[in-house]
Amino acid sequence: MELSVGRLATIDVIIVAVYLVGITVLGVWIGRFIKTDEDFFLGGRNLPWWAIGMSMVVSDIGALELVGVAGMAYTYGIAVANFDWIGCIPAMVVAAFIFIPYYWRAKVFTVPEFLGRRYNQFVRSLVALIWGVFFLFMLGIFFYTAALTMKILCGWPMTFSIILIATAVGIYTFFGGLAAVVFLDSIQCVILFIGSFIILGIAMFKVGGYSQLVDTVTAMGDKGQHFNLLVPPDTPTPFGWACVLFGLTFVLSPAYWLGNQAIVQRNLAARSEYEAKKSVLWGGFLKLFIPIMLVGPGLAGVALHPGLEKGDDIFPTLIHDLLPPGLVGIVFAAFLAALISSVDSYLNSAATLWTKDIYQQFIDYRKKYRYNIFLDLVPGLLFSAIGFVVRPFTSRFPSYKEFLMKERDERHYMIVGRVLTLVFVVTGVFLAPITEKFPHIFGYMQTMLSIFQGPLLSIIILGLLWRRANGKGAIAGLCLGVATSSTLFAIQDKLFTAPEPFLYIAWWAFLVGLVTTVVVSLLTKPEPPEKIEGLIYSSVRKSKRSQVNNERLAG
Amino acid sequence: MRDWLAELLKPLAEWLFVLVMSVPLSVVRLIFLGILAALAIWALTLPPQRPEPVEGKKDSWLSDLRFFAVGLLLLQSIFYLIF
Repeated sequence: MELSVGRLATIDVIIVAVYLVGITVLGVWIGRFIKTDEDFFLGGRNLPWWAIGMSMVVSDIGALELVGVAGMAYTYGIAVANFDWIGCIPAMVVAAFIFIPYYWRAKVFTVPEFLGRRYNQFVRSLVALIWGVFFLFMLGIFFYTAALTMKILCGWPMTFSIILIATAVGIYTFFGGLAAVVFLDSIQCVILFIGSFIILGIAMFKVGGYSQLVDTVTAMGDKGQHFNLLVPPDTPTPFGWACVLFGLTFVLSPAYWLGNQAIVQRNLAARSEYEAKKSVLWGGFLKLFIPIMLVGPGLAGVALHPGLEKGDDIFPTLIHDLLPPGLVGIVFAAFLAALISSVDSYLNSAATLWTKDIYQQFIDYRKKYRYNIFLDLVPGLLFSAIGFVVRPFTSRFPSYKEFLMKERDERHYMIVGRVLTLVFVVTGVFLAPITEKFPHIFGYMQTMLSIFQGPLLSIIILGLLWRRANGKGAIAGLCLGVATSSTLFAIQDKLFTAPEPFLYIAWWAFLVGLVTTVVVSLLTKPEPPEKIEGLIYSSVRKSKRSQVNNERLAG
Repeated sequence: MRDWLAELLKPLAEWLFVLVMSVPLSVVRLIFLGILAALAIWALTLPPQRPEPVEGKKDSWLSDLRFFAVGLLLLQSIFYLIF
């Protein structure tokens, strides 16, 4: 009764098919309640804390982590768990009590929007562009990792897998927006936990338990490296304690949990400020289990399949070799859940950023000023080209000028968000093959993140905690910080002993961003007090007129 | 240019490397645990983090998110004590 679809048996195919059809139908059904841009991008700001927390966690664990973290654990050991423990929990606690309440009260759609209010519109556009482009590349990586695992597991062609995932995610994100993303993510979180614990349980059973695993790996010549969370800086891993502490705990982790639009957007959709905070802490609690689920199989793989050429192959290999039909379907669905939950989050956030921070900004700006050849040439030509194709079929297609001056309501921005969702799905599909050139997928993602996460964090922290920080300082800090990380990447092989020193680079880029922002802010005019009133942490803590400040925050 | 920059920064990189290498792992473990403990203490110094009061309904202390955060940080500390 084995089916011809690669390694999957009939029952597995049925489970996966039901799962994919189920989430797509549910997403389309949620789409019936989407009427405005706030509904589409923020679920009408009415989402429950438990779903948001689950969505945060599962969005963070993509297929990228299932494959990449298990692969890193296989190659380097348990030290990779630092990413989910010290690399998440402290930052989430700080985010829950300081940053998330501010964002929520400000009633913004995006983090760049908050920065725009605190600094200026240029900072907003710059940060939005950086994130917007990054998200598009991330979509490509997510599609590639899914296709890679499906190829190993079932022998499916890469292109087929990419299109299958892109279709399912594209449909429900297009219709349901963030509400569909969050509710489906919470279902996917449950499936992911079940699937991951199944493979962990079976792998550990095969090995003979944790003690036996330690004995086996030690007998293979391991000198304790695989079972120590804290390893010296000279070990041949990217996880020496110094880079974990400085690069991860102090920079990349806070930058991720309080500055990454794909994560923070969920908190902005909470029903209340209290629920926004609670969702982050709930997410933190779930995070405690992630290394057990992901690192465990990777470690077991060292004993079960020693000598794999690529560490990233271990998770698909374990599924392939250990699981009977039926369970393969469940674990495979868990893998799809992990993948889909990341893709939908980045897809929805990319659409939000490009709609609210770039498209809407451009339209608002253009309405105020006359024709400008630098701003209007490219969009004008693009618009004319589309008009040339579309006009034979409809007489309602406006001219570029009519389009710019048209009155727009909330529904218009929702439609733009949906159109961009479709465009980005297609873009992600085309970017997927680029990822193939990089041997360690997880390291590749961290590399991209660490180039601008450090400088970005510096301006977010100073913006909220230091009254004197201003727009010019933020722009200088951001630019010089990114230049620093780019330069360090260029000379990393001559400067660092760690094999993938992205954590060190993030730390130095953060420091340069911080110092530059402080120096330039001190050398230039401060922001007017009325502009930043209510946007600074200390002023709100000291003030008894919190209601006034909340109104100020909400613009 | 690339080589020149690398040569320029190399002495600083090597000095920092020797510095972090001189810290024993037992001290590193204490630093990690200290960070978690400091955060837990900071969380407790915050004002109560309770939901908006609902008329006729009394909140239990369990609804205060500060205690949730402290619990989370304690659980996290256990992992760093064990491994």
